[in-house]
Parts: sequence; structure tokens; C-alpha cells
Amino acid sequence: MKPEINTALITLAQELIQRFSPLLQDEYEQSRLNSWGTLLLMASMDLDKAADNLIEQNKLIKAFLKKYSRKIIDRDLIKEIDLLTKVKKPKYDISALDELNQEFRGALVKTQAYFEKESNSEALKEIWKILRVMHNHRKVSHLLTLLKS
Amino acid sequence: MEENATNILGQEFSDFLSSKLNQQFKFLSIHRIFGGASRETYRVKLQNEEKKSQNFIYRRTQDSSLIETDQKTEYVAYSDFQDTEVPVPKLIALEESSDKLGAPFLVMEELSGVVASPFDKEAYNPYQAEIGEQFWKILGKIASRDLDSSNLNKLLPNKNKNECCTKELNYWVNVIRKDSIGIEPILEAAIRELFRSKPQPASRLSIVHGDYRNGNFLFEGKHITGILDWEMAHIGDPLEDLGWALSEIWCWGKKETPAYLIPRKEALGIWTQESQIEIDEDSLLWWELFACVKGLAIWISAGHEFSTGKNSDPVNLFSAWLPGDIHSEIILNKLENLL
Repeated sequence: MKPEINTALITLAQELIQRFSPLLQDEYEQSRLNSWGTLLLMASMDLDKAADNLIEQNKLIKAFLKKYSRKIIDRDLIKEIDLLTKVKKPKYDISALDELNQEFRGALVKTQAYFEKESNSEALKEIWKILRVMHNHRKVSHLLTLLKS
Repeated sequence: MEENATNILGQEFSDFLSSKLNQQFKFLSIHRIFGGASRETYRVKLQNEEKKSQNFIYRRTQDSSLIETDQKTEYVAYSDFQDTEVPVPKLIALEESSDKLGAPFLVMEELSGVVASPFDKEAYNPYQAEIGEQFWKILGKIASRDLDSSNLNKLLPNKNKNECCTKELNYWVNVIRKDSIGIEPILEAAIRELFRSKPQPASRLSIVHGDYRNGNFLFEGKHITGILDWEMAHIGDPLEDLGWALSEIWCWGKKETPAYLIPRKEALGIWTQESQIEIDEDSLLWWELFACVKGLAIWISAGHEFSTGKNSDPVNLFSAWLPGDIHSEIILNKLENLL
């Protein structure tokens, strides 16, 4: 089996931080290279799950919008949700998934604002659950231990 | 910048300072200091006429910077605390035009001490208590600084106790609208919440540092030797600095001790005693949520700089990814709890 991209990136990050950075005399350049190594590590962790995460986010938002659109009486918003939830065959390259994700996010923001005005706590609770899942997908804060300097 | 170009810059700086201070300096070395994306900061070592070496801090405006701030504002903010109990570097010069060295800059004497990463929870160990007391006391002193004699107050017009929150919120939301490269529902929810639930008018107008936190001060052993990075200083509600300094992002690995120093209750007690300002709890909570939005505006701006290729410093990418993630999570925790 060919070596995975993730493995290559992690190795590259380690080489940069452990092998090449100590060779640099200039403190600024050394810190800069260490930062790139750390960022590369973070990127490699995100890479493998990126498409799957976007698919899940889009599914979650779509299901929510479909479920709650009947509780919305704003015609423009209903129209926007209808158009968006009718997308049948999404492409699976990350840029296309991300583009669709942005549209879903836009609709979610409007819907959340709408339900805040309506004080619909049931809908709002569901939205926060979705936002928690979305946040967890790109969570990197647990990597803080890597970044002491 | 390549080594040769940096050395040329150091030599030019030396010539500038010789002319400015009417004495002959000899250029010895120049090193860029890593971190902070709003200015290029250099440590320049020069030899004076008595053959003694002297270190200077040379802060230069970047073509592209995280937050567009004026060198003069920073300089004037420092000037308000020269020779006071708020330790700041001694100012040497401000050059507002790009004619002399290619970009506006300010020059200060270097203070002793080190700066810690705001993400290192052990940075102040074993002197958290001592440094903590000074940290919150100094912030109280900044908040209670008399504005009648403040240069910053003279420089920045149109202040109003009732409008501090709206003015700041509008400013940072505009930054988000200008630089955002994606839709962030968590951030949008926080912005709506802030516009819905305004705090009490400021109890007084104060000098606001604008980025008062761990990682922005120098310390040596158990002593704080300098408060740095005043580029976002302005006149406003003193609770703004308090909300920013208390933010969980600066104590993410140990949330019970803001700034990785001392517990919140103790910190607020010290601040209140020093500033003689009573804290309205609800207003402080508003300013803490505001700190997340302001933070995200800064991180979004950093991401924008990076994405558009204006500034490929890894600090920008780092800011967009990691602190941005933490501030989003803080908002998530706060707003979920409101339901």
C-alpha cells in the first residue's frame, strides 16, 4: 500500500521541527519554521476527515431545515430553504462540499435568527446541538499542548 | 526579510537614531522578534559614544497588518504611563512618515524580562500569586488613570460613556463583515446576542489598553517589568479590558485561574480595590462575550491576510485556526447555557 498523505505530512512536520529548525541560527526564523511545522501537523489531522465532516454537517443542517421549515412563516426564508434542500446529488470534492456547506450555514444563521425572534426554544436547542457537532469537527484547541511557545 | 536586508535596516536605524539623539551610535546587531502580527518588531543593539552597548526596540508598521492601527496611538498610550506605577518602556522616538526608513515606526528602550506564551499554563510557575496580584493591580491603575492629563484622551475625540459598547461592537463587526471568508453561525449568534442585550453605560471613561492579557507583559522572576502592545489602546469602558483579560482563551488549560495567574474572585477584588470602580456583573458578562467577538474579528482578519496572500506569516494562519477555534467554543458554551 502506498504511504498515506497524512503520514507524509506528519513526518515532514517532525523533520522541520526536530531536524531543520535547530540548524537555524536566527531566533525569528527558527520560531517561524517551528510554527509551520506545528501548522502542518494540525492540517494533516484535519485532512483525512475533511470531506466526511462536511457531508455530515450538510446532512444535519438539511434535516433540521426540512423538519422546521413548516414552522416558519417568512416566505423568502422558506423559498431559500426549499431551493437548498432540493439539491439531490452533491459533488464530493472538498471545494464543492464546502461551497454547499456555506450555503447551508447561511440558511442556518437566518433560521436561528428567526427562531430567536419567535422564542422557539425547541428549535434553538436543536440548532445548538448541530453547532456543537460542527464545532467539534474542526476543533483543534486540544492541540494547545503542542504550542508552548 | 533576508539577513543582508535586515542588516541594512539596522544600519539605517542606527543612522536615524544618531541624528535624532545627536550622538554617534555604532550598529552592532538586529534581530526580529517572533510573534505579534500587527508590527514588525526588532531588537537593535547599538554602541553609544561611551562604547557601551544599548538595546532598542524598533516597532515598524507592516505593509499588511492584522489590525490597522496608528503608530501614533500606540506611542501616545505609552506616553501616558511614562514614569508611573504602570511599567512601560521608555519612549525614544516616533516617526510617522515612511520617508526615513520605509515605514512609520516607534523606538523604545528595551526593558529587562521575558514574555510568555499566553497558551503556556506553567509560564508563571511558581510565582502565579505574586505576578497575579501585580497583573490585576496594574490593570486597575490603567482603568483609574486620570483622563484630564491623558495625551490619549486628547488624541481621540468623541467619547461618550453611553456609547462605548456600541462603538466597539460596531467597529469589530465591521472588521468581520470586511474580512470574513466564510459564514460562522456561532459568531453570528454572539453578535445578535450582544446587540440584543446591551450592558450598563460605562461607570466612567478610562484608558483601555485593548489587548491586556498574559503574553503581553514582560516579567522577571516574580516581578512584572513592562506592559506591552498598546496598539489597540483607546478611551472606553474599563470593563472592556477586564472582560478581555479574564477571557477563558488566555487560561484554556486551567480555566479557574484567568491569565494562568490567580482565581477570578481574587483578581476582581484586587482590580476593584485599585481602580475604585464597582463592577456590574451583567455588564462584565457582556464584555466577556464581546471579547470573544472581538477576538474572532482579529483571528478572521488574520485568516484574510493569509488567504489573500498579503501576509504569509504563519502567525496569521495560526491565529485563524487555533485562537479562532477556542473563542468559538467559549461562545458556544456561553450561549448554549442561556437556553
